[in-house]
Amino acid sequence: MEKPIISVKDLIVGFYTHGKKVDVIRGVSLNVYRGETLAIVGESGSGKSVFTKTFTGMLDANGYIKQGEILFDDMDLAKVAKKSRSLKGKEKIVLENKDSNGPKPMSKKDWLKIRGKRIATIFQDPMTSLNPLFSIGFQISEVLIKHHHMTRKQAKEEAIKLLEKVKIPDAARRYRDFPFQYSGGMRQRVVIAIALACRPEILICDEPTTALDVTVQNQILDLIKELQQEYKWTTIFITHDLGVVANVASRIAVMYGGQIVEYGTSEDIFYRPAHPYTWALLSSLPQLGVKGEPLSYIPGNPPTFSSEIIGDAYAPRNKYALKIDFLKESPMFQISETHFAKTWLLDPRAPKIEKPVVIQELTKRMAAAAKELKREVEE
Amino acid sequence: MAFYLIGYSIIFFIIALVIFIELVAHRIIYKDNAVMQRIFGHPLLRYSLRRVGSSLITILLAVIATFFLIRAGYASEMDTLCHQTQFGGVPISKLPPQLVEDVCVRFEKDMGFAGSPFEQLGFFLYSILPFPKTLCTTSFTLDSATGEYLMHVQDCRFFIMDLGKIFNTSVSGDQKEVYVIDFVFQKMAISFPVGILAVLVDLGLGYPLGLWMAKHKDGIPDKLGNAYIITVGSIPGVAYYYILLAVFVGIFSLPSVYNASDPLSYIAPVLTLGLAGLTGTALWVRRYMVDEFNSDYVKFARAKGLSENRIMGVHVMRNAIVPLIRSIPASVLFALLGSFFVEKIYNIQGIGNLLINANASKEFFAIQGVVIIEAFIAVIAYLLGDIVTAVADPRISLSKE
Repeated sequence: MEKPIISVKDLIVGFYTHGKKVDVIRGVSLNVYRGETLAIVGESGSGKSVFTKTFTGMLDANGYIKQGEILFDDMDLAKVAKKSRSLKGKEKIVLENKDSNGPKPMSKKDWLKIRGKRIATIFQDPMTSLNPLFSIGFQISEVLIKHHHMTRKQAKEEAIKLLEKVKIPDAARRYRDFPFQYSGGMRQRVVIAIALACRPEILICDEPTTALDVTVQNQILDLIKELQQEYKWTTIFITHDLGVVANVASRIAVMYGGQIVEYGTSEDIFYRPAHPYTWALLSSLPQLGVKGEPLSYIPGNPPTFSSEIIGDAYAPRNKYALKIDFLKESPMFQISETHFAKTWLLDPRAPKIEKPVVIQELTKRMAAAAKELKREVEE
Repeated sequence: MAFYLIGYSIIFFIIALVIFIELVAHRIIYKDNAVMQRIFGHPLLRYSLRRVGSSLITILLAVIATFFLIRAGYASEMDTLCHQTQFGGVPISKLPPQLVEDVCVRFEKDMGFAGSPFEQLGFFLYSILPFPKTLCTTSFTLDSATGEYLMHVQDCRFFIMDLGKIFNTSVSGDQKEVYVIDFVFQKMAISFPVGILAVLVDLGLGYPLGLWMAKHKDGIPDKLGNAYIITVGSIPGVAYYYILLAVFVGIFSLPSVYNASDPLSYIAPVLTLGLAGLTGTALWVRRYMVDEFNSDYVKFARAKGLSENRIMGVHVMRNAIVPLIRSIPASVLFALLGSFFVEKIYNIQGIGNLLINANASKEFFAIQGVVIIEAFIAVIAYLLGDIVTAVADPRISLSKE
C-alpha cells in the first residue's frame, strides 16, 4: 500500500477542565492517503474536531497531546515544543512522549509553516470566519503575501483569479467588498478561496456546510470536489451528516467517544456496516426511512468523559451490547483489506445477532433513496 | 467693510458648497461624471454634512437654553452690575449723574438686556452666530477745560462670534474689560499643552498596556495591569492628585509650580492626568481585545498560518478599535478645557477654574461664554467621533436607506 500523507498512531488528547484531566481522544490510529477524501463522522462531542485540530496545532489552550504520534513528512505533529507551562498555575502537564530521538518538537514557527500553507482548514460558520472589517481582497491577499511572498499587486491579481475559481461573479469588482455584503454561501466561497490560496496538501473541512442553507450545501460540496480534482489535495471532511459523506467521501471513519469505531471505504460503511453505532447512524438517516414507519434515532447521550469509560463507550446506548462490552474494550477487528471495526460482535466467539431491518435491507433502501433523489432532481 | 465682505463670503460659500454636494449626490448635476460623483457624491461626505447639520441644531438649542438660564439668574442685577463697573478705568460713581444714566442704558443695550425677550434672544443669537460684527470699547476722559467727562468709542474690532466682556479683574486677572472670546482662547492656549500631553500619555501608554494585558490574559502582565487599574480607580480623585503631587515633588523633586517655559514642570501635571486617564483606556482596550479574541475569524486567521503578532496587531486590534475610536476626538478636544484640580494644584493659569471664578463674581458673560464654547467643543468632539467611527467601520450604513 502507498505511503500515507498523515499517519496517526495511538493518539491520546487530554483536556484540563474544572481542575480535572479528561481524555477526549482515546487512542486513535488512522492513516490518511494522498489525494483521497476521508470523512470523519460522528455525533457532537465525539472528538472529531479535536482530532483534526491536532494536525494544525490548534487545540484550545487547555488541551494537550498526552501520547501518540502524528507523522507528516518527517515531522511529528504530536510533539509540541515547550508545553510544560502551568495551566492556571495548578498543575504542570508533563508530556509523556518527549523522547530525545526522532523528529524534533514543533515550535511556534514550525506551525506557521504548516498552517494554511500545507494544511488548510475551513470552519463551520462562514458568517463569522471572515474578519468583518477587512475587505475580502485583503483577507485573501494577506495569505498570498505571507506564504508565497508576493507583492501586493501580484497578490491582488492572484486573489481575483482565486475568486473566479470559487465562482464569485465579477471578481475584479468584488475584490474590495466586505464580508457583511455577502450571504453565507458566498462567504464560504471566499473562505474556500483563502484555503485555496495556500495551495495546501491537505484541506480539513470542519462541517463546512452545516451552517448553510440546504440549497447552498450541494453547491459548496460540488465546488470542493471540483477544486480537489484540479488541485489534487487530500480532503478530510468532518461532519455528522452521513448524507453529505455519501456525496463526497472515498473513505469513512466513524468516531464515537473519542475513538474510531469503524473505518473503511464508502462502500464498506454504507453497504456492509459492522459496528452497531454505524448501524444506528445509518438507521437514523431520514432518506433510508420508509413512509409510515417512525424515524429511528439513537437513544441516550454521548459519553461525557467526566468519569473513566470502562469497556465500550457505546455500550450503554447499544441494544446489541454484549456483557463483555461493559467490561473490556474491544480490539480493532479487520473485516477486509480496507474495512476495520472495533466491536466484540466480530469476535468469532460472539453470538450471532440479527441486524436491524434497515441494515439488512440497506442495498434495497439505498437504491430506493437514490431513485427518489433522482426523481426529485429531475422534477 | 472688507471684513464684512470676507465674512459673508465665507458663509455664502459654505451654503453654496452644501447645496452643490446635495445636488451632485442626488445626481441632479454631474450625473455621469465619475470623478465628481466619487468626490462630492461620496456617502461619507453627505453623512458628515448631515451630522454637522444636526450638530449645529444641537449647539443652537444649547445656546438658547444658556440664554434663558442666564436671563433668569441675572436680569435683575444689571443696574448693580453697571454701577460696579469701571469704564475705561474710571469708576462709574465718578461720572456725572446724567452721563451715568446714558452709560447704564447703553451698557444694558450692549449686554443684550434691552427690549422684549424676543428682541433679546434675537440680539443674542446675532452676537454669537458667525455673522461679522464690530465691537468697540467705551472710555471716558476728563475734559480739563469744562471739568466734564467725555465718552469715547474706540478700539473697534471685528468679531465673528461675540460673547461679551469680562469686567471683574478677579476673574480676568490684570486685564481690564477683556473680551470673553479672547480670554477663553488665551486660557485654552495655556491649558492645552498640558492637556494634550496628558492625552498622549493616556493613549500612548493605555493602548499598549491594554493590548499587553489582553495578550497575556490571566498571566502576570494582566494581573499587574489590573492591580494598577483597580488601585488608581479606588483612590478618590483628590486624594490621588495629592498622592501624586507628594510623589513627584517630594520624591522626584520635580517643580511643583507649572511654568510654560520649563519642560521639567510639565512632567508632574501631565503624568498626574495621563496616568489616571490611561487606566480607563487600558481597561477598555483589554476588554474589547479579549472579546474579539474568541471570535471565529481569529481561529480562521490562525488556521491561515498568520503569526500571533499579526493576528493581535492587525485583525484583533482593528476590531477592538471600532468601539474605542469614537472617544479619541473627545479626549483630544477636551484637552482644551483643562482640569480644575490639576490646574489648581500646579498653579496653571488655565481654563479649569474660570467657570467657578466667574460664577463667584457673577461674571455672567464669562459663564455664558464658557458654557457655550464647552458645548460647542463637546458637540464637535462627538461629531468627529461619529465620523471616524463611520470611517473605521465599513458596516455602518452611511445612507438613510
